[in-house]
Amino acid sequence: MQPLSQNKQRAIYRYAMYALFAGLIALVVANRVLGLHLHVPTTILLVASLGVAIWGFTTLDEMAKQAHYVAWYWGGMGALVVIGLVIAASSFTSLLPSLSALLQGAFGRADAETGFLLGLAAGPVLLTLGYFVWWTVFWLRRR
Amino acid sequence: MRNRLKVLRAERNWSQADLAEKLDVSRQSVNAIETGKYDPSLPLAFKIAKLFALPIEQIFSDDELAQAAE
Repeated sequence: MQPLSQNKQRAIYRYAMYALFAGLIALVVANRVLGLHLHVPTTILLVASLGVAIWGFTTLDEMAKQAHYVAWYWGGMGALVVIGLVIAASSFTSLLPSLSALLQGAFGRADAETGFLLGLAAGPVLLTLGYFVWWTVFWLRRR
Repeated sequence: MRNRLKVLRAERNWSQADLAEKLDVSRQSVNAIETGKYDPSLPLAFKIAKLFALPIEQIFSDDELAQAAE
């Protein structure tokens, strides 16, 4: 049997990711609507997604791979600068009280635990945001 | 980097999708290479040369050298 071409493997990868994403949404809905506890299937799905993503990366052509490299480098760098500026600004401005008020308004609590968890989440969220911005820029410039 | 990919492809009546299929890359990559927005790696450049049965320097040329020749 002839091995599948990279283009066909990429198509399989795309559909597999759509299926896994749909599965994840189904699990979230089942949890929220039906109140089911689905930690095990969710963990399995996330691990499977990681496996498919790792395999999928090997099927990408060189320009798509470069888009990811560039997006992670510049998007990540931009996000780190933003995070650094927020940390620096919080030490010599009244940013922290403003952030606390923001937390209080959004979550109804502004304790250390909430602040710590949101601080942890802010890193990956900003890095991912930066990544998507640069990924979009990369493809728009090479259309 | 300049290249004659579009001309070579047109001579063979291939669409960008046809060429992408033969090179096993995406159509977007073929388009980006043709329009000079992306320079292919050496392995892909050799693959292109092999596909068109031409020496690599007859497909790709350096911008400055090409300008100097003109």
